[in-house]
Order: sequence, then structure tokens, then C-alpha cells
Amino acid sequence: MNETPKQRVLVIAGFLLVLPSLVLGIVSGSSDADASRGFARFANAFLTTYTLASMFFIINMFRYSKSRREPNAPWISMTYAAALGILASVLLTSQGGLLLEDNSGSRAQILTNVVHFLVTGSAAIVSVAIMIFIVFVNITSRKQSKD
Amino acid sequence: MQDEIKAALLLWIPLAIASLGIAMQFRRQHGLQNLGKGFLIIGLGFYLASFLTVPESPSSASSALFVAILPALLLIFIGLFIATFSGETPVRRFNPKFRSLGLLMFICGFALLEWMNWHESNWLPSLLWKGETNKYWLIFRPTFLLSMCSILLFGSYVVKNMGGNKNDASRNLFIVSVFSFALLLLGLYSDNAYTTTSQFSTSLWLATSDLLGILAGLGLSVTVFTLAIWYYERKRPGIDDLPPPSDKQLNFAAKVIRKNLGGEESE
Repeated sequence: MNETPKQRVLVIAGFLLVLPSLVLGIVSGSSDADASRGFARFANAFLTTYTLASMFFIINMFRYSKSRREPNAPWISMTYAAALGILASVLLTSQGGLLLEDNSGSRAQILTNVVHFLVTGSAAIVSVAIMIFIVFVNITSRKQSKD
Repeated sequence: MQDEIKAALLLWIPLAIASLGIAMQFRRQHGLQNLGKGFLIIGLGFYLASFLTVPESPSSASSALFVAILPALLLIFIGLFIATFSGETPVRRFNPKFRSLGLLMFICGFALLEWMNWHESNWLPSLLWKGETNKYWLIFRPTFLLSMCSILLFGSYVVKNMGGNKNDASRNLFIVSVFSFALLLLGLYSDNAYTTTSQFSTSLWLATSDLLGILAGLGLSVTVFTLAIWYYERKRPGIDDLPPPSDKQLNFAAKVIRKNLGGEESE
């Protein structure tokens, strides 16, 4: 497969990844209250995932800096990530207040976000694992049926 | 205050220890990896027991949910594991006769997860928490079905167009994806044992926001660190511009290869 169709397949696949969410989001969310809660949830999920993923990558940047002999790499990338994180937080909180959902304070909201991420992350990981297993089950059965 | 300290000791610190255990799996030293496994087991054990040890903490409802869905998830994964490794693989671990059993276990696990949602029964794990529907079930189920639908649809398309001649896999992924979508639609138009249609509609809307938020957060983080790595990599000379390796570098490479392959040192 040459480069252009490969890129096209990836773009269409990326669109298919969000298509069910968009369709069901339009079907299920209607009122202004839902839109406001949905925005707060989006922003909290975005900030929690960004923070946790960035922490993971920063730890890996220390390994990268050691293997590539670039001692500044983790600090530079940490600065980029922090600057972008602060910018995103300011942009999101300026749109929707403090993003507190049902919690009284920011500390409670942070802890809620962590547990929430644990539950949603588990659901997503289970789905990915099921997809991988289904592919492998089919591959191994195909070879078996040739015998 | 005492409740907060109890929650910190019996829920949050174990969760942090479990995370540390996962992080230690990425270390090369076997000793640290084994220690990490110990941390993971202890941390997860305390976390999963937190619905008994600190029921006053709202977050402990999540551990009650994980314990309730554990049998269904175990059936799903053990079933898929058996079905995969009883097939024609170089590392076949099970007799091919167990393949149908594995697939049956997968279907039973999935059915159990749905049955728990549609019927409240004494012999099924309860999805109630303090007399009400566990709020984390209202988060888990729509997120799980929605991510199943999205990820399997994505996988089906990618496998069909980039995976060579694997149409069976693509078709089956598509079927399970459509099935998940149908369950989501059913939830929107029919009440079940734990949620009304309007509750499910709100949960689904929030799950949609959640998944899009996760995708956006992950995407931005990956982009930032890709740019940082690209910044350093573009400064490095191309492979054709490099001088030939010195004796010191060759000796170092030989040492690394010997360490990984083993064997006798030749004269």
C-alpha cells in the first residue's frame, strides 16, 4: 500500500473512531443544562488525561535524554507541556467557570476526576483488549481451518 | 477529618502504590519489577476492599463496581484467551477442542454484564451502592459500550484496509461494534433495572464528552512530546553523514550484543 491511501485510511479510521460518539452525542444531549454539564465533563476529562499522559511522557523523556545524551530534553519538554497545560486550563475555565461539577471544592473535584478517569480508562482499555483478542481469535481460526 | 485520613490510608495511598507498581514494570531490573508486582497486588487489593473498609468515602463506590463486574470481565478475558491460544499459533497452550468453550465463555461474560444491568436478582452481583444505583455504573456502562462501538468500528476499518486478507476479523469486529451500538440505542428507548431512559441519555451524553475529552487530552499530550522529540532529532546528523564507528564504540556494541544473546566469546 503506498503512502497516500494509507494516510486516507488513517484519516477515515480517525473519523470512524469519533463518529458513534458524535451521533449519540447529538441524539442524547439536548438541553442547555446537559450542554453545560457535558462541557464541564469534557474539560475535566481533557485536563486529567493531559496531566496524567504528560507525567508519563516526562518520565520517559528522562530515559530519552540519557540514551540520546540530551540532558535538557526532559526540562524543555516539561516546560512546553506545562505552558500548554496552563494555557488550556485558562481557556477552559474562562469558558465554563471552575469546572466543579457536583463538588464543593477544587480538591474534591481533582480526586473525583482521578476516580472518574480510572473508571472510564478501564472501560476504554477493556474495549481495546477485546478488539485485539477478537482480531487474534480470527487470525488463529483462519489458519486452523486451512488444515 | 478522621474519615479523610482513613480514606487516604485505605483508598488513595493504595491506589498510588498500585500506580507505582505499574510504573516499576517499565524498569529493566527484575528485582524492581518483582517489587512492583508486589506493590500492584497489595495496592489493588486494598483499593478493591475499600468499599468495605471506607464505605463513607464516595470514591469507594468505584471499588464496589469493579468487584461487581469482576466475574463478567474474568469470563470475557479468560474466554478470549482460551479461544486465541487454542488456535493455530506457535505458542498453542490449549487443545483446539477448547476453542468453542472459550468463545462461549466470552459470550457468557458479555451476557452477564448486560444481564446485571437489565435484571436485578439476588444471585447476580449488585450494582446498588447505599440503596441507589452505583453512580460509577452510570459512568462505566455507557463509556464501555460507546468505546466498544467506536474502537471496534475503527479496528474493523483498519483491519480491512491495512491488515491484508483478514476479512473475517474485520466483519466480526463490525458485528460486535453494531451490537454495542444497538445496546446503546436500546438503553435510550427502554428503562432497565437500574436506569431510566432519561438517566441513561444524560449518562451517554456525559460519556461522549468524557471520551472526546480523553482523546483530545491524549492527542495534545502526544503532539507536545512528539514536537519536543522532533526538535532534538532534527538536529542529529543523518545516518549517511555519520563517521564510521570507533573501536571503543564497536567494543561497546559487542558487549551489549553478548549481554543480550549470551554464548561463548570467540578469540
